[in-house]
Amino acid sequence: MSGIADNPGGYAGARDGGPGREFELLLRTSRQRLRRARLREQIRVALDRAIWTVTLLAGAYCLLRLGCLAAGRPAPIGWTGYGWLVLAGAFAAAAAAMLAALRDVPSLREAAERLDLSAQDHNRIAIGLALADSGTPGAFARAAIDDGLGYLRRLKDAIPYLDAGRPMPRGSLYRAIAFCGLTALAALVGNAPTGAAIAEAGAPATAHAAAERRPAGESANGRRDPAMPAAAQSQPAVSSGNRKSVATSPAGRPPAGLRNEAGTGRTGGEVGAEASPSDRSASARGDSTDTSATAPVPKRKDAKTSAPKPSKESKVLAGQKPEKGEESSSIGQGASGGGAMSAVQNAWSQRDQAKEGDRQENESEEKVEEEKESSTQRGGIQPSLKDRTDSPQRELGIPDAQEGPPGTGRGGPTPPKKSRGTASLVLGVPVPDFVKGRVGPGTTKITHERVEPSPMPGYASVAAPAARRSQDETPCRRFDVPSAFAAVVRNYLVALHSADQRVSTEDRRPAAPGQSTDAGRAPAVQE
Amino acid sequence: MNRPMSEHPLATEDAARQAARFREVFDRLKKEVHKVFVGHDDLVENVLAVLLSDGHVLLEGVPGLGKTLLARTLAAALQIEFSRIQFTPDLMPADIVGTMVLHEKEGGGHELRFQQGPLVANFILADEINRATPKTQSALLEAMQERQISVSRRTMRLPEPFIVVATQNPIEQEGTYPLPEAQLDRFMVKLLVGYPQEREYHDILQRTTELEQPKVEPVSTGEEILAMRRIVRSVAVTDQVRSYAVRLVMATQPGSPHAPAAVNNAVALGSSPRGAQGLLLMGKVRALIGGRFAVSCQDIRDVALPVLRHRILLSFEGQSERVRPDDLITAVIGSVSELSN
Repeated sequence: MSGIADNPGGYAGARDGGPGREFELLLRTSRQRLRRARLREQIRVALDRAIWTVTLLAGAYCLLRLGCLAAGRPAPIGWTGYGWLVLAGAFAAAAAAMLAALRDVPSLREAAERLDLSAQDHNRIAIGLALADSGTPGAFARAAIDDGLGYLRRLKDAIPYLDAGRPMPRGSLYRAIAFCGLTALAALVGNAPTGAAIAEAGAPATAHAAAERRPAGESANGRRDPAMPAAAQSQPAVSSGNRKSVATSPAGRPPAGLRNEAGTGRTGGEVGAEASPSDRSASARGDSTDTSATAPVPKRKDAKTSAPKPSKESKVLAGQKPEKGEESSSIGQGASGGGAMSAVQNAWSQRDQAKEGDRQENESEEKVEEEKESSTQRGGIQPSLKDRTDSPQRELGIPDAQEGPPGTGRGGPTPPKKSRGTASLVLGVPVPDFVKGRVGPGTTKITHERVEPSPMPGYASVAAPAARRSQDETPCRRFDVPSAFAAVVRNYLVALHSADQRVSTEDRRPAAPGQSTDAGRAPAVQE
Repeated sequence: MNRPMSEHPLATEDAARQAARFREVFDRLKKEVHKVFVGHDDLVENVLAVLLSDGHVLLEGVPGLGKTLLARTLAAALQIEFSRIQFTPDLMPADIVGTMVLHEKEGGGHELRFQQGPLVANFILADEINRATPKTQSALLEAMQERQISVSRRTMRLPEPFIVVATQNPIEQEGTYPLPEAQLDRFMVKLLVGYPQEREYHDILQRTTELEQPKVEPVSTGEEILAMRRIVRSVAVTDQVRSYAVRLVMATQPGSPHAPAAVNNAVALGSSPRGAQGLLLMGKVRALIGGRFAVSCQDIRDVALPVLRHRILLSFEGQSERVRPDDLITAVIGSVSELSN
């Protein structure tokens, strides 16, 4: 606010206890009402934000549980922690929203403008307040300040214009439903079994299975029984790895900590040492016997590696004749197509075995293959190389004629040009008018045939005698539009003319009493 | 808390006295015009408001509604120089501005003298302005904006007060030339003259078909009009109202942040800053008529239709949808809040 110091006209402002100060005192009630209304409105906003927050938290918690389940680890936050987290998040979001509303104190100007809006009387209060603040020294400004002040004294207890309270958005309801759904999903996901639980659940069955398969002479703790012969005790490690595991988790799934290590040959103890303390403790109790007994189902990749297809090298070594597709593979030849086996599947050793004679033979066949295959390259049929002809000579002149001196422009014996104009600039690459594999149009043959004109068969028009006014004035249809558009055109014309009639009717309609057509009768603004 | 109404009662009394004088002149003129021109109270008020706010009027209406009569009556009520120009297709700029004519000297010989046209007057009635060619219409541009005319090397100031009241017919578009945008923008308001009411027909017939004809007396002078214009410009305007007028004008411009969807869809060109000037000046007159000392947002809304309607150029979509500028202005008024941001 600018006080009298900024006011050369000497009109007292708010700081000097002038009308500005009186405006401030009189508008106090309106400001308080406005602030309370804002707080009420902000409660809805706070609730909405709290729902947003808890929905996000629920989603994050659901993801966390799914991730832990996939990783085979226990969720770090239990249901109690989740509940506290949701409560704290909702409270924090709502508190932040309410804090912002508490800080937002309506200004004097806003209170005055809203009071004017509720009174609908030409902004007298806001005008008076604004002019008092600005210190406008004009006589009309002073009169407006007095006018606004007097008006405010009468209206100081009026309720200012408040924005209509908006209902809770439907999105909040959806978010609340989403929160419940996500929480239920997190509950349905369940908790991943911990290592201790796996060990506890899997230990009896493992021990039982181990006892069944345990070879004679091996004790339960894996140590060799010295009483058993060494041959009986020797057991290949691969065969133990191929054994079918019978130890599964209570949920029917293989224990997560023991899944991947069967093919690698690592023991359960090694895996347990890498996994978790609980696993480590569990595996610490076990030994190699447990490993062989609890060998899990190998992964798909391991299954492939355990039973690979016979490779080419092994075939060659076995004296078998290579297959035709492999023989005609073009990887070593540089051609892109033709090989039945892809380049990735070919062994590098196969290329190393190519002999020099084969290479030369391949090079001689390369051109033939290129000509054969060029028509199908680049995704379609293309002209072949052999169809190409040499480009025409760019020499201007008669080929067989004896070359004369260059043209000097003086009428020397310059030979005439072969061609002129644009045709001489066009590249002479002939483009075949047909391509291989398709029926070409061939050359166009034009034949001229001389025929004598003869009358065409038809109906002679007959003039029908028409009675007076028995037909339309004109035989032409006025709206000769296709039947599909006839309705559209008709509707358009009807609408056009009805609009014209409406406008002309409105123009002719007399004005209301005491008003003319030009009254600034704009509706009041409703915020 | 019961402080005196003002710490400067003299200033307040001065403002009140000026406002009262303004209303007295305004009412006097209005009453005199209504001696002849029946009805259309708001139309007469708007014409007087333009006269007192230093603008020009474009009256549009079908034939026979008294557009020319209103202008002639108002000119007769003012003791100022009146000039009527009937715009025809063969009217040339020199016919209204003036031209250099060869004049015979008394002592022999000849000289070129400026023969001023009918445009050199206080009150110009440009009747059927859209019947003249755009070349002739454009002769008014300089006169309406700069209050001067230029002929050859000569520039001549027009007398004050200067007001152009033009009339045009919305129908019978054959052989007419629509006013160019630059010309339209120079009119402060465009007023639509409608049909009178039933009881007004009786008054019209009584005053025009009987032996006794009402006679208009000059009730004001050019000097008084100029004084009234100074009073109008003294009326206070706050930032809130000024901002409201600016936002209203900007809302008529497609692509503006204040423009509603209707404007973006149907308007090719919105109002110019002259529209905002017209809103404030006309709003000041309305505030004085209403006995107030400052313009309110309601005053701006009241004059928005006549001030802005001719400044909105409809796009093809708007024309094909038969959108009316008045509907767009109503939508604009409904979309712009008078609360300060």
